[in-house]
Amino acid sequence: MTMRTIILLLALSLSLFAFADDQGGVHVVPFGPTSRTPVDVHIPMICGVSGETVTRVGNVFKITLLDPNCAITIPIPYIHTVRLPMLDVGEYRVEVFLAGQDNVHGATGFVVRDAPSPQTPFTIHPFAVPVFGSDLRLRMTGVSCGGSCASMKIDVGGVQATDIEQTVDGAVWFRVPGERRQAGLVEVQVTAGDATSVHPGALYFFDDAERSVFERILFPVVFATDGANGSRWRSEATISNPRPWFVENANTLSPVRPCLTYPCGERLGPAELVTYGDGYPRGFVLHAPRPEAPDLAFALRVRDVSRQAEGLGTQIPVVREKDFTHGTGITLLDVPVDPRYRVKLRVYMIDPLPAYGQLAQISLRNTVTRATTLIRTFQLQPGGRNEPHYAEIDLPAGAANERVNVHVRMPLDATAWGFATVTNNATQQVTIVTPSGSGLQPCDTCIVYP
Amino acid sequence: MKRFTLLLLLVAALPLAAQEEILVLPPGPTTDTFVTLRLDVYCNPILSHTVTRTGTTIVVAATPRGGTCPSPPLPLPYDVELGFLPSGQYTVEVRLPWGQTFTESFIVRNAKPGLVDVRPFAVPMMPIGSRLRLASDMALCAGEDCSGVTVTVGGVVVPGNRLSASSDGSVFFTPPPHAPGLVDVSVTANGVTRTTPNALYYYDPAAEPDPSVWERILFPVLFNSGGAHGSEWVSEAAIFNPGRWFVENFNRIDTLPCIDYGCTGLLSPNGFLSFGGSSYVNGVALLVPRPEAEHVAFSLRVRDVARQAEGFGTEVPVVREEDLYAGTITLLDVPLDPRYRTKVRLYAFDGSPFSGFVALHDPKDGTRVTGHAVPMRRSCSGIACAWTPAYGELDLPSGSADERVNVYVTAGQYGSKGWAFASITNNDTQQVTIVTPDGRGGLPCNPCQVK
Repeated sequence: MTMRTIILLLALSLSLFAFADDQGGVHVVPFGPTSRTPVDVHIPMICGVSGETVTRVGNVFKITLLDPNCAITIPIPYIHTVRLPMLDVGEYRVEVFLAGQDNVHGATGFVVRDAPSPQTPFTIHPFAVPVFGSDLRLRMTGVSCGGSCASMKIDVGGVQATDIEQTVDGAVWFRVPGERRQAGLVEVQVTAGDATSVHPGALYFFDDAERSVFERILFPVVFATDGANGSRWRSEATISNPRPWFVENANTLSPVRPCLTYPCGERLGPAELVTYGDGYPRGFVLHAPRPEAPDLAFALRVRDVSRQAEGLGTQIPVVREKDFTHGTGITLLDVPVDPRYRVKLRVYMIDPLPAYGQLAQISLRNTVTRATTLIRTFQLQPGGRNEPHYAEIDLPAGAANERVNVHVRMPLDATAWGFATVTNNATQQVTIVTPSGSGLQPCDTCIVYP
Repeated sequence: MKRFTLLLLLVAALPLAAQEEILVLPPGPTTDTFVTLRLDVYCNPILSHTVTRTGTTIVVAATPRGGTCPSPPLPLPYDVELGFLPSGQYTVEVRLPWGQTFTESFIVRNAKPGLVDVRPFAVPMMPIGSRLRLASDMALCAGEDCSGVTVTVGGVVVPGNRLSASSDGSVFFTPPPHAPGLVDVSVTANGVTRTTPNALYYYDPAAEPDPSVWERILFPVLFNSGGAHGSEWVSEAAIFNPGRWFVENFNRIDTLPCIDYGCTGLLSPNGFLSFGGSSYVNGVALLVPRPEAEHVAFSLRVRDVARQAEGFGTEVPVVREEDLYAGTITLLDVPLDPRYRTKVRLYAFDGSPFSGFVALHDPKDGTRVTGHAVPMRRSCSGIACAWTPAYGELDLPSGSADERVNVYVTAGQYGSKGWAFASITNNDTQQVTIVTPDGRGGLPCNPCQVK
C-alpha cells in the first residue's frame, strides 16, 4: 500500500466520518453563541486549502474550501477556522464543501440566542421548554398585566398562552398549551392594552440536548462503592436552583428514574435543591439550559464513610463548560508520585468529539530536574448515555517526595478536562489536583531561544 | 443617632458611587468582545443617555432623574452599550447635567495576533531584561543571521545587534524604552514590511496597573504557620508558563530572592516556578498580562507537615477573574458537625474597611438560620493595594451532629467582585475539606412567588 493510498483512504474515512450533529467533526465556537458573540466554524482538515468562500442563503451558510491539496507527504490534521459575520437570533446551518466536489465535507447546525440587553422587551424563564412541556409554567418579567391579566395576550409561536397570572413580585406566569410541537426557536408577542412587545427567539422548544442551547456540566464521579483497605466511598452531589422559576434540564442524574415522557429531563422547581449519590463512576454530563445554567449551583464531595470520624472527604469540582480546555490539553502541576501514595489520573472528553480519533498522550515531567519520566498514549473510551468519553491511568510510583507536572496532549480540537487523585496508602486520605490554564502543551524541542 | 445616620447617608450619596464609578465589561475587552459600561449609580437613577465617540474618546451624556436622593441610597446600575470597538486606548467621560464629570480609561486589545505577533503583550517602559518574541507569516532571519531584518517598535528601530533568531523561525529582541501606552510593531524582511497596530503595551511599573491590561489572579492563602493541635501549615504554590515566550507579571508573590533588575515575575518559555508560603495569610493576587493569563497554569496546596505521613494536604483553588462573584456567593452543603471547625474566608478587591455578610440557610427548606456581618480589611499602601485583597473570616458556630447548611456570602462592597470559601477541619486529625463557591443565582427565593 503506497503512502498516497493510505492518505486517500484516510481522507475518505474522514469524509465519511459523521456525528449526529457535527458531520465531519465541524462545529462552531463558542458552543453557545449569542447575538453578541462572533461565531467561528471549526473544520477538521488534512488536505491543505488556500482559502474559502462563504455564501449565505437564508440561515444556511455554504463554505467552499479552495484549492484542496491532499497530496501531502505526511498527513497532519489541523483545524481550519472560518469566522462568520455577526448573526442575529435564529437557527443556522453550516455546510462545508471542498471546491470541485459536490459531497458535503462536513456540516453542523446551531442556535444563536438573544444576548440580554437593555433593549430586551421582556425575559422568559426557562428558555428551553420540552416539546411536551405544556404543563410547565413559564415566568416572564419586563411586562405587566396592569390591572388585570384577563386582557393580556401572549402569543408563543402562533399558540395562545393560557393561565396568565401575575404574582406580587410583578412577574407574569403562563402556560403554553398543546401537544408535541416542533423543536426550535419561537417568537413571543405580548399584548397588554394597546401595547405589543415582540421578542424573537424568546423560547426554545427542545426534543434533544442541542449543544448551542444546553451547557454541558460534568460531575466527574458520582458513585457508591467499596474500595481498598476496607474503604467505603460515597459521592454526595447537590444541585440547587435558587431562582423563582422552573428549570428544565435535558437529562437527569437520577439513575433509576423511569422515562415515560421524552426527553426525560429533570425539572427543578423554584428554590429546589436535589441530591444524588450513585450511578456514574465514570462521570455524568448534565445538560442545563444555557440562560439558566449560570444561576444553578452545584456541589460534589467524595467521602470514605468507613473513616468518617477522620475527615469529611474531598471536594471534587463540578466542571462547567468554561473550565474545559478546547483544542489543547490538560496541565496538572506539582503532582506527588511518592510511593506512599497511589495516584490515579482521570481524563474526560465531551462533545463536540474530535474528528481524528480518541488517542491522547500523557507525559510526566519531574518538577526539579525537568526530565520527562514517562510518555504514554492512551485511548479515551466512549461512555453510556449522558456519560463522557473517559480514561483512567494509574501513574507509576516515583522516588520518595518526587513530584511531577502532568501534561496530557488531547486529540485535535478535543473538549477535555481531567484531574488526579492522590491517595495515602495507609490513611486513604485523598488529595486532588485539578487542571489550570488553557492546557497549552509545552514544546521542548521547538523552542530554542537565544 | 438614627437622624445622624440618615444625614450621613444623604451626604454620602453621590450620583455615582465613589468606589467604582464606571465599570468596563468585560474587564479586559478585546476587538471580539461587546463592550458595556456599567455606571454604578446610587442616587438618582439614569433615565437616558447619548454616546458620542470621537476617535478613542467616548463621551456619555447621562440624564438622571431629578429630585433628592432617596435614603438609604440603593444600587441602581445603569448599562451603556458601546458595542465592538477597534483596538486602542480609550477614555470615557460620563457627563451629568449639573456639570459633574466622571472619567475612566481602558485598553481594547487585538483579539487575535495580527501579521506581526509580538509576545508578551505588556512590557515596562524601561524594559531592561525584557525579551519579546516576534513571529510573522514570512521568513525572517537566515539561520542565525538577522542582519536583513528590521524591527520597529512604536516608531523606534530596534538595533540589529539586539535581534536574535530562534530555531522556530521567530525573533527574540529587547524592546526599546518607550512612554506608557499602546504601540505599533513592524517587521521588515526581504523588502516586505508587516505591521500590527497596537501590538504592544508599555506600562509604568510605578503607576496603578490598568485592570484592562492585567488580570488579577487570587492566591487565597500563601503562608506558613503553626496552628491548633501542633499542626504546622505550609502552602505550596506553583506557576507554569507553557508558551514559547517570556511572561512578565506586574508583581511577584514568590519567595525567591531578587538578584536581577526589576524583580518582576519574569517567567521563561516552559518556565516552572514552585515556591512556598510567605506572609500572605490573607491572600494575594498576581497580576498577569491578560493575553498570557489564560495560558499560564497555577496550583496551590495547603498541608499540615506535622502530619505529612497521613496525607498530602488539600488543594485550594487559584482564583481567576472569571471565577470571582459580583453579588451573593453560594457555598452548598457545608457541615456544622461539632467534630469539625468550619471557617469561611472572604475576599474582595475593595478599599476602605467595610462589612461582608455571611448567611446560613437550612438546605431542607431554604429558611435562614442565622446571619453574620464580617469586617473586611486590608493593609496596604500605594500600588500594592492593586494586589492586596480586603479579607474577612468567620468561624461558623457548631451545630448538631451531621448538620449541614448552605452558606451565602456577600464579599464585595458596592456589588464589586469577591470570592469566598469554607474550610472544614477535623478536630482530631486536622484533615481539611474545602467547599468552594458555585452558581451565580444567589440566595434562594423565599418565599418564591410561583403561580
